[in-house]
Amino acid sequence: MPALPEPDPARARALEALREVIDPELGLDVVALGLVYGIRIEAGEPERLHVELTMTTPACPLGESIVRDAEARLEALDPEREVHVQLVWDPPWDPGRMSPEAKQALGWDEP
Amino acid sequence: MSHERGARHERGARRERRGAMSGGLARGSTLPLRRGLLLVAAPAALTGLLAGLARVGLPMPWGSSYALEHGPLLAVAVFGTIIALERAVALGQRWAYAAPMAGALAAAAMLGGQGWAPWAASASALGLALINVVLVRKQLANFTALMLAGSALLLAGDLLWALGEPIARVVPSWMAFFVLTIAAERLELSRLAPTPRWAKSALVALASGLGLATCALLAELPGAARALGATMGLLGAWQLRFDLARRTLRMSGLPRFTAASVLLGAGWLVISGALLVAFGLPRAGPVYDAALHGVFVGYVLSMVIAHAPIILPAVAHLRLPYHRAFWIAPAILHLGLLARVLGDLLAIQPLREFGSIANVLALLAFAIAVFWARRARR
Repeated sequence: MPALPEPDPARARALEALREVIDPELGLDVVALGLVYGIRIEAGEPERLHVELTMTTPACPLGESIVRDAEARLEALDPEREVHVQLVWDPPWDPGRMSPEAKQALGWDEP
Repeated sequence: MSHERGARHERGARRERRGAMSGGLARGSTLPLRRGLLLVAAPAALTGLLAGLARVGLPMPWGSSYALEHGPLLAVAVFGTIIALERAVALGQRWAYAAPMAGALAAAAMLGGQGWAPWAASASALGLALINVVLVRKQLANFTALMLAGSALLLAGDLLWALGEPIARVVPSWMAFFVLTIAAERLELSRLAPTPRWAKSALVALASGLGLATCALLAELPGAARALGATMGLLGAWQLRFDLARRTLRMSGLPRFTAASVLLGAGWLVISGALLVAFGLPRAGPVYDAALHGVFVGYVLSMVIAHAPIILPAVAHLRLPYHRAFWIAPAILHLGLLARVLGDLLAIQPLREFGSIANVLALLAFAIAVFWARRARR
C-alpha cells in the first residue's frame, strides 16, 4: 500500500477489515489490488469512518456490491461508528497500485 | 440476536438517511427492478431453450411454435438484457435501466408473438450504446471504446432485423457484439497481469478487424465471413495465450472455476473462427449451426456460467456461494457442444440431438448446483 501513509491503530484495523473484501474473479482483496484510496476517521458523536474505494474501471458492475461488503465489514468493527464508503474515480486506477503480493499472485515476477 | 437485529436496523436507517442527504435515492433502491428484469428473462430463456430442442427435431410440448425465435430469444432478449442490466448497475444512474427494461419488453413481446419485438430490442441496444458513451466519457480507454463498438453493432443488427432482414443475415452482428464486449472486458482485466504491450495492441487490432469484417459481412462483401472467422479465431487464441484466466486458473475455488470456463470458451472461439475461415458463413445448414453454437453456447454461455456466481450477487444481491458441484455444468455443456458440433459436421443426427439435450441439461445442472450450494451454506 504505497499510496497510504503509515496508518494509526484505528485506521490499521479498518485496513485489516478491508483485506477481507475480495474481488471474486481475481480472488484478491481490495487492499492488495490497490483499490483503497483513503481511510479517514472523523471525531464526533458518533465517530465517522470515511473510506474511498475505486474499481479498476467504471464499466465494472461489482462496484456497488464491493462497497456493500466493505461497509458491512467496517460496521462490524464498531457498530456505534458511522461508516461511509464511497466509490471514487479520480485518479484512475493503474496496475502500479497493486501490492507486491498481488502482483506475484498474477504472475508479474515470472519471466 | 435481537441486539444484532436492532443494530442492523439502525444501520439500515442510517443508510437511508445518507441516501436522502446525498440527494439521490438510497443505494439498492433499484433492486426490485433488477430482480424483476431477471424474472422476465427467465421464461424467455426457458422458451428459447425448448425452441432450440424443437429446432433440432425433438418433439416439444411447448416451445416449438417459437422455433424461429430461438436465437433472438436467447441471444438478444436474454443475454442482451443481462449485459444491459450489468452495465446499468455499473453506471449506477437510473436512466440507464431503460436499456434492460426495453430488453425485457422485447423478450415479453417475442413470447407474446408481437411483431414489434425487434424494435424494442433496438431500443434496448440504443440504450446500451448510450450507457457505453457515458462510460467512454468517464474513462476514455481502448476497452471502453470496444464496448461501445460492440453495442453499436448490436444496434445495427437489431435495426436490420426490425426492418425485416432475415435472422441468418443479421446474426453476425449479434456475434460481434458479444465477442467485442467480452474482448473488451478481458482487455481491461489484462492490465492486472504483465501482458506485453504488443499483445494488448494486437487484441485491439483483432477486435477492430472483427468489427470491420462484421460490417463488411452485413454489406455482403466477398471474403467478409472468412475475415470474421480469422479475427474471431485469433481473438480466441489470444485469450488462450494471454488471458488473465491463465493466472487465476492456478488459484482455487471460484476464481479457478471462472478461469476454466473462460479458457474453454476461448477454445470454442478458435473452433468457430476456423469453421468460418474454412467454409464461410452459409445462411443455414450444419456449418451455420456448428459455428453459431460454438460462439453462442461455447463462448458466450460458458462466459455467462463462469460469471454468474460473480454477477448475480452484484446485480440481484443473490448469494451464489461457490461449490465444487458447479463444475458439473461446464463439463456437460462443453462435452454436449462437442457432440453437437461433431453431429453437425459428420451429419450424425442422434449426436446432434444428444448434444443439444446435454446443453440444456448443463443449465439445469447449474441451477441445481446453485440451489444445493445455497442450502449447504445455510
